[in-house]
Amino acid sequence: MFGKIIDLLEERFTFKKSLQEDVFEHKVPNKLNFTFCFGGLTFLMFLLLVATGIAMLFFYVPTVDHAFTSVEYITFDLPMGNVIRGVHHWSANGIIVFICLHMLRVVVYGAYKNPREFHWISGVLLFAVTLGFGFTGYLLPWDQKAYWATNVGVLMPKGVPFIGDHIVSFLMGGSNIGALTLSRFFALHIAVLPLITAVFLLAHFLMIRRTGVARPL
Amino acid sequence: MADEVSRRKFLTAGIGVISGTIIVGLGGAAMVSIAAPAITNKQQGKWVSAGNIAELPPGQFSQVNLTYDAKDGWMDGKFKMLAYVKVEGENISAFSATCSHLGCNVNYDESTGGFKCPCHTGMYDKNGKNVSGPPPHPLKKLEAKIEDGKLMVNTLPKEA
Amino acid sequence: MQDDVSAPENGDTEKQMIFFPNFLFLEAIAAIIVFAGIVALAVFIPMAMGDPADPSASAFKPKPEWYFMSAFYLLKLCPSSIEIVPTIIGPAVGGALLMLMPFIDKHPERSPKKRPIAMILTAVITVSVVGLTVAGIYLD
Ligand code: FES
Repeated sequence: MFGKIIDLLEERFTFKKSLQEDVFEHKVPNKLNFTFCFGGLTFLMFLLLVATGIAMLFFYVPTVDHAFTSVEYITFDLPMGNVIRGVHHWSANGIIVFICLHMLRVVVYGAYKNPREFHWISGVLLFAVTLGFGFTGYLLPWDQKAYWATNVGVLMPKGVPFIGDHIVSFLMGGSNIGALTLSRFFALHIAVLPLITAVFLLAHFLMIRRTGVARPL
Repeated sequence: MADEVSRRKFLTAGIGVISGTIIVGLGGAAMVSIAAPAITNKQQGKWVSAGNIAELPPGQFSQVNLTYDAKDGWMDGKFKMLAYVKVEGENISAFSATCSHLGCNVNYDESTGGFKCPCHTGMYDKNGKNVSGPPPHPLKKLEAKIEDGKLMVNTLPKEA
Repeated sequence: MQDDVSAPENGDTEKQMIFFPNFLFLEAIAAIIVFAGIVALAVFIPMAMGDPADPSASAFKPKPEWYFMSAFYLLKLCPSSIEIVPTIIGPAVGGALLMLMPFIDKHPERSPKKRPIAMILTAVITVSVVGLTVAGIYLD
């Protein structure tokens, strides 16, 4: 049944062939060791974060009076809620670890050099975006830790000459950390940053597909 | 031939201008609304009671929690802040507890009679002046007055 | 074809493997191990909640996530007069240098053994970031 449908689609769009040629059957060097898995593991973390993030999005409410209670609900009342939130938490930590390992591997193997300079640049940008995820996500449970860590973090740009104070009020959405801070961090965390990530990730993958993986030495 | 080229150029430029207008228009509108609260969502000062004068130990700093209603973006929110007040006869001093460094709440420090910030150990003296550590400015003074035996404090710090 | 870039560079007879399923199988093994680890952490260390945010709490001392700890601790070590260095200039310059690294280090040599300066720099930076992180977590 499924085979039939796939055959019909294949006949019309030849997608199997292009998938085979473009995604699955390219050659990679034979001597790849486990350090070449870190990029893939970073991607795995990203997928886990997306999946658990979407699951929590069914319950989380980004308002000052309900954020805390809704996270409490996820954590203590919702069946499997604690595991979902736990996987989100640990993957968020794991993704940083794997990005660092991946970057270290790339540096040691000199894999950022010509022709792969732009893979590296897109990677550094992805790392920066990931830190942005960490910073915006930290506020969302709206507990003491979240509030005070964000308070300190958001005031850091204060030292920028001339426009420091404006950057701070732009980030906070006003003169205090409050309803608008939470809602803008939420918007960044679940819409803006994921979109940016998707774009750079696609570029990262397409480029590595074009140039191939740097041969181990 | 030359006509064909200029026609092509014209069409290309047209597409560029049209899509540019749409993108800049949309993006600009979105950016304005996203940035606006930085200017419009300013906290309003409220006069809040910090307790009965009779209950405040005279000549000594007391830590008070100020709770008040105010608008915060789209919601009517409950705001809370921490302040230190001292009444000494006619003299009232009131400080917001917000550290001028990175915004932690400072503690009253018995040993110096001033204030100490737990975050990066900034120190202030009893007049709220920053004396050591990272804080770049004094603690912010709050306006205060006595009304019906109550100490009233304005939640919006005076611009020093 | 496109794959030639990662093909043997001096025509030696190094073999290549096919991405799917050969390499992806290795990835899958690594993935299942890591996945099991993450799920185990999530199951055996249940998430907790602190108290609700309270701007009037006295003396709540925030701890940043461990991956911001190195920067945070550096901020603490620096005298406040040059605070702008760890908070703004450092991250900005560091990020820019990191990003432009392929254009700074342009020599085509890739073998770590023949790039002593790059390797020593990498080691020094890694050790100091890890050191600052650990110091921040335990000493602060
Ligand atoms: S926030 Fe008070 S010393 Fe840094």
